[in-house]
Amino acid sequence: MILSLTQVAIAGLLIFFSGLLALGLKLKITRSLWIASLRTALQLFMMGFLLQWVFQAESTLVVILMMATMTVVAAFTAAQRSIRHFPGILHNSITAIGFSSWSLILFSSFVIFHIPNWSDPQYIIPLLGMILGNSLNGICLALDRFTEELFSKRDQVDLALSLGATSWEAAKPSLMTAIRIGTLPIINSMMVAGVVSLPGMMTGQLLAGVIPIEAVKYQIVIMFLVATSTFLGTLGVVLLGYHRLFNHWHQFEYWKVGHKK
Amino acid sequence: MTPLLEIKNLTSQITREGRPLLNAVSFSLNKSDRLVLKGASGSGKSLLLRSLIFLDPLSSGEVFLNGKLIAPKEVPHYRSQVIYLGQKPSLLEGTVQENFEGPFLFQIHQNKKYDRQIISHYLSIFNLQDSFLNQSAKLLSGGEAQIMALIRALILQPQILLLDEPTASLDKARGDIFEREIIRWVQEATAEEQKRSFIWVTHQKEQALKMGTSFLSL
Repeated sequence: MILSLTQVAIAGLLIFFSGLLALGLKLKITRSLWIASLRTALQLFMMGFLLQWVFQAESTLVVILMMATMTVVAAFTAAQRSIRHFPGILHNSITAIGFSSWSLILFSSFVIFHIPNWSDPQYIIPLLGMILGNSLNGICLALDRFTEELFSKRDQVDLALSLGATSWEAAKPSLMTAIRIGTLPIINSMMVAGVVSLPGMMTGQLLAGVIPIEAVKYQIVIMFLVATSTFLGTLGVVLLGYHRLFNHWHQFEYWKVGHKK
Repeated sequence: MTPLLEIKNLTSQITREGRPLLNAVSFSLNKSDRLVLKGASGSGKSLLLRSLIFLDPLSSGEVFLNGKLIAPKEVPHYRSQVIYLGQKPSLLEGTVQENFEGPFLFQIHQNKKYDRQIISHYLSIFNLQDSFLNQSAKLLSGGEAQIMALIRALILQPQILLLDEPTASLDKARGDIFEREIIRWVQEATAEEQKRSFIWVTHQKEQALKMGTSFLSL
């Protein structure tokens, strides 16, 4: 089933009328609803053209540049969303997201999917996008909770330190909370996968005519990749943050954690 | 005689109007010394106590315990020997008992035994029942929290206590007990290897004279 532009436009009418309805009810969301929809259409079309170009270019360099850009944008978004900042937060975010997503991409390309040419953009770009999009969420939540936790519980951290705790012992409760919060969404979505919701990728494959069992196998692999990447990224960003905010004098460098923006 | 605690040229990274709040502070503390720290509000008394145990950043300075220079990896052990009691006592989550037990989970206190009997003894000194142990630490009054913080420190068997206006939120009766107990704690260390001492921050002249054997002004 190939969609025509007319069909896409008809779907757009739904948004148009939803906006009118909201306008009639004076809900004040019409503007942002229309802007968001317009952005969705424009951004996805641009991505489509870009992908088409990357697919045709058949250049390893172009693929790597594309992957690097996606990774940095994801890392930037995750760091930016955190309410409190500390020096090096962006650097940490890039390292954690880059390492967790790229290592899984390489592992799955070689060991699971046996893609003949790893830099074939048809596989690696959508795979990276899927992993980044999902683990970004977890890393962002973990980072946000980590800084907030340490900031608001500074008394507790200093108390533990002053009673002889190592910096690791003093920070551990905050680290554990942050990791738990960061991995909660992906664990929840695995809990209900197939029961409450059909994951996006599988829905797409089913609509495109793939046999359900085949779509399911792909979906399971993707979910496992996403969960592992989220866990590794969350763990990484929290541990890197720990090393930025505690020094070898077993001192909590509370003055580095910035106030709310 | 090697001093119990020796501070050399402690300079804080924290500045006010471009000058470090603590500038090259040096002093030493011998066995059984009772040092009273005086100074106007904002002169850096609390900062000195916190800097002494490396909670606040130093730009320079050296700290020796029993003649031994404290290196970064010895900080947890040093902090188990030199315990700081903040002006507003911090609480661990949970009951009073959990506050007493908590620190024993840290690696540095692993070979120490949590002794209920000693706790009951200290509680009775302050006219508190054993049921005090089951109270939620969050619901304690300022004075009760200060007593809890003192007992929490004493059962870890430190050599030095750093006390930042410890009786400020206590009533007269319990304030007197607090003062008496701390002096007794220092004096009962008679054995050669047993060394005890404290630094006490206060604004009250009368208390300073009662508690101190030596004085330092900031």
